[in-house]
Amino acid sequence: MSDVAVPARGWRGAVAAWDRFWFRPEMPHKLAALRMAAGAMLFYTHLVWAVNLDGFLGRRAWIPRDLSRAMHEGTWAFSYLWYVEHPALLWALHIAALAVFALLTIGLWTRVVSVLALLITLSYCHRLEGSLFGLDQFNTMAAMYLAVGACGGVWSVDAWLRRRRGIFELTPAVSTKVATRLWQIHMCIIYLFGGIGKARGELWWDGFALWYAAANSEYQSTPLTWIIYMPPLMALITHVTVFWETFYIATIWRPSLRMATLAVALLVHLGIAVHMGMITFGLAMIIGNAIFLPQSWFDRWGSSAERGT
Amino acid sequence: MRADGPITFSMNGKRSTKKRSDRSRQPASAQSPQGCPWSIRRRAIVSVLVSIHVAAVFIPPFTFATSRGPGEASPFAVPLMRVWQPYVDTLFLNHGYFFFSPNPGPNHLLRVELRFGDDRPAESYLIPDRSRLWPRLYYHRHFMMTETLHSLYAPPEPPPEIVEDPAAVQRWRQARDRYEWMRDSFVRHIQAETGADRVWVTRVEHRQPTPYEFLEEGIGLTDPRLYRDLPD
Repeated sequence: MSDVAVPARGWRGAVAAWDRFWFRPEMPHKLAALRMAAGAMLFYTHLVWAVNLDGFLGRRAWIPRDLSRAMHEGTWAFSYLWYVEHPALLWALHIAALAVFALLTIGLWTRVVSVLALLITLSYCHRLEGSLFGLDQFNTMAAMYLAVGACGGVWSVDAWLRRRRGIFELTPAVSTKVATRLWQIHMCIIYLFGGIGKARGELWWDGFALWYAAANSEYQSTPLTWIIYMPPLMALITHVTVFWETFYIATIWRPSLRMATLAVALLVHLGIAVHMGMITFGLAMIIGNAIFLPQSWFDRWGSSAERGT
Repeated sequence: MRADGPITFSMNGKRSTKKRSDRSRQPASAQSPQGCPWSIRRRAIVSVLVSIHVAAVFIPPFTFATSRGPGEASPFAVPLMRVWQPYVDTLFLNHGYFFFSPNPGPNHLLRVELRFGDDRPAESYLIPDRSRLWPRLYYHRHFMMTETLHSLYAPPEPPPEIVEDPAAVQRWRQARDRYEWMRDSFVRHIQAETGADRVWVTRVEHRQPTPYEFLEEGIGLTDPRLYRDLPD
């Protein structure tokens, strides 16, 4: 991340800064950790469709495939699930999809399954338009960048198999850096527009937005209505949320502010997970923020783990 | 060792195939090469690709943020969105990221009423219903569907202000057809799942109590006064 803090002078300096930012090779530990976490999230997300696979993807679907295709009419979206309705085939494809996500999580044939995981995730999202929310946006983002970067180099079955064959080389990869940067920028854009959207609402300015989130019984999982008895705290949390989201894109890149920015992210998303019933979304965004944790932490964990084995 | 060459680690306590240097005991990042093994040409191509991609992530929420309604976004954003549309659609990037924005508003549910041809009593329930739908993510999927149905709603007759505008009437017709298609699909799904002879669905808005209502009038979060049937 020090790549970002170095000031660029002149166009040569700008090119060098661009090179440092995007193309300095990076060890795979951080992306590998995120592969395990995001892979598990992808697996669970798709496992839940199996509770009523026919009801979401089959002949008795809430949103039949014809309607799903019509909702994407005139767009470039594609889903192989638009062409499948037979229950047995649907189940076979769904089990295959779960197997791909499981393989991604444990890191077996990572290079291939990461690309397959992206294609599968996109197909499910396009087919299931109408029942999606922020979790699916995270899933697609994570699958996309895990397909770009070399995320199976460590903490994976692939790495274990390589070691068994006597191959101990671990090479920093440029693709890992590119994937990391894309993921980081994507997170910044999500929060920037999340903040801009809130800044357009009166309730986010008068300090009562948190109340209307807390008093939302369809979301609520643990009571948060006590917050109304503490108006200054309620308003403070509301205001901090707006400012934190809007300026995340600036503060997260400053080494002196990064951990504070991530600490607020942790609190906000834990709050969403615990109080607002969106455990998966809250966890997903915490995983997403982990892309900004210092690379050295992961390298150190990796080195410790390797010394310990 | 070349600046961008492999780094040798000793795994499982076994001797590495390469001699372990003192530097390899440091954390990996400390010995990571500074240089990039990619050629300038490759970096240039990837630079263009990542710029296109970052633009594709940025443009949809930017267009959404500048929008005052369907097709009424900033004249700067609209042509950009048109150019990036294929890429954005393909990679499922068309999002606004307006979570709970601009204000945390009311929820939109679906009341289902069932009549059976046999002796079973009539049933009525709301979707989503936490007592029927588990795990929580499964419940949330149903919640999002009822919200989507609401977002697609178009009135059964064209609004008076557009009846003189054929293009607007056509847009209204398409919107109404799409809404009815989804509503009827929901009905068919519920009928198939429950075996009911007749199924009625009604959109229901559930708003939050204001702080005054909650504190002074004792209106709870699920008070019947907070629910309102919406027209079909």
